[in-house]
Amino acid sequence: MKVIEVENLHKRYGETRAVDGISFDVQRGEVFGFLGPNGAGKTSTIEIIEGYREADDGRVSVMGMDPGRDGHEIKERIGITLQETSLYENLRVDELLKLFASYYRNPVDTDRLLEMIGLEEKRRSFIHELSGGQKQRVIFVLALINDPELLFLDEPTAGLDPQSRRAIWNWIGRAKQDGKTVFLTTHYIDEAEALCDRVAIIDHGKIIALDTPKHLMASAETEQKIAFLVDGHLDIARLEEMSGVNRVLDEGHGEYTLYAPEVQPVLKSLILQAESNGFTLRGLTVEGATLEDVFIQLTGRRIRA
Amino acid sequence: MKVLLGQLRVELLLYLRDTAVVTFSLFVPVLTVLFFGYLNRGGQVEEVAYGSFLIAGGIGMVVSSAAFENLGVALAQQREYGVLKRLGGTPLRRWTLLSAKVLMASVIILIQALIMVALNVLLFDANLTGNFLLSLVTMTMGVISFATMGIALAGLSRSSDMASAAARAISFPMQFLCGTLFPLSTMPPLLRTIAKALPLTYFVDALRGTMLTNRGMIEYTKDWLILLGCFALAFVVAAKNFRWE
Repeated sequence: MKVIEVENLHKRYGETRAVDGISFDVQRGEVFGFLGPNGAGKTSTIEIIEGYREADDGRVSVMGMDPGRDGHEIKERIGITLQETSLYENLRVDELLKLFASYYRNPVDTDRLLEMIGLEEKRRSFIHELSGGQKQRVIFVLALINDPELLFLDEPTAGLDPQSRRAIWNWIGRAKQDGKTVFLTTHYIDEAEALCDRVAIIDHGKIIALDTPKHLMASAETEQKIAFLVDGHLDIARLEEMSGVNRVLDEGHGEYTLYAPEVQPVLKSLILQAESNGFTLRGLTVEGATLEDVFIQLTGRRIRA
Repeated sequence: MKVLLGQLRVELLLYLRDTAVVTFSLFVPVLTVLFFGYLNRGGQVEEVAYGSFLIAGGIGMVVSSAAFENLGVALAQQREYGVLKRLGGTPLRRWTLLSAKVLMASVIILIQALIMVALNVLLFDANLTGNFLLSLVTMTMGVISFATMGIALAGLSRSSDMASAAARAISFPMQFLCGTLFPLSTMPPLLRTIAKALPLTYFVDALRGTMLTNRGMIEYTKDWLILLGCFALAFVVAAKNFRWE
């Protein structure tokens, strides 16, 4: 069942086409991600769906409703985090949660939410006394206060420390387990890979690829990286002779990296060579294409650029 | 209703916790009234004790400063910092939010008005001999009208700096010119003309009349109509220019 349907969405700001003909669906219960560089049109799209702004053209449906007309009912049933936001700095944590709870028909127990984000002891602290990571946790948990069916998370972990990031990833995973649908935007490759069931890669207001992360990566026509470690030294020429190997890198200290379009034949001959020449492969790793490689291949530049 | 009361409680908490704003908005009018009351102690204006004259003037100053400098500027700041944008993503309706802000301003103004009455009665021989009910009607009209003007000002300002500059530019001259501290009749013609173009003049005039005299409602028709007109205008501007972000 489709929770979000977007058809041929357009939004211009002056001369800039922020959203330039975007179409996609989000299915119930999936974590759907928009991956792209800053300024690609991610926030514009998500904020049109949330009802913050109107599209110039195109059709949006959220849980079967129109954000422009049924905004109030939609807001009752969604949870959001904004990319740039601030909270009432002079409220205490529990006061802020209770205030937000009062906006909804069926709020959840705010104490349980505080427990989930590990801030029970901070309940009487003012928002302005919290660290950046703690504030981000509060911002995240405000999105859950009405037990929403659908979560919109705009760059949920931008600028966070690794520990807070992991925590938020966990809670997103838990929201999915609870049957919630999640639509998130990110410019972090690893975040999209770790969280999303499907990813739309977006650039210059257009979706340039849309699939599961695994399919996207498999479709990238890039070399795979086979790295290993041996005791002593190997003859590079012998490695380069193996069929299917494009190039070999001697990283020093007995570490070598092979680049090859196909992994399987190279691994096979590598193992044969090891056996016949009496060396032992240690620390063997194979690295396929990343979503970043997909992005580079489609756009010719890096995502952070 | 529950949402409105919850929001009102939070707005009041936020106001009281902002020490700088509380200090400024409370002490400036109080000190001004104390200063002028002391200077003119024992004096008479238009056949009443200066202290009695000063009550409505002091309340007028408080209303203007609460509506523009507190409500209007705070609203523009919350918009600029992104607080309002987050609220816009919840089912909270803009009318509930703005009503809570107007009620918050009303509570603050009421407390300050009581302080003004107490100061002038206790220190400067003021006497409230007017019509309580009509004073209350005038107060309500004035507070709602000026609070709506404060919200309209926030809507018209692009930034909180702009709102703050505009609030001061509007509120400061009104607080001194509009028959607050001296009667219009003693002012030079130019200033009197300016005062007559400012809405606070009519609020202070009606409030003073209803608080000190027992004249009938008909006396205040002009003042009240002007206040209602300002409210209607401000309401349209506020509704048209309100933004969550």
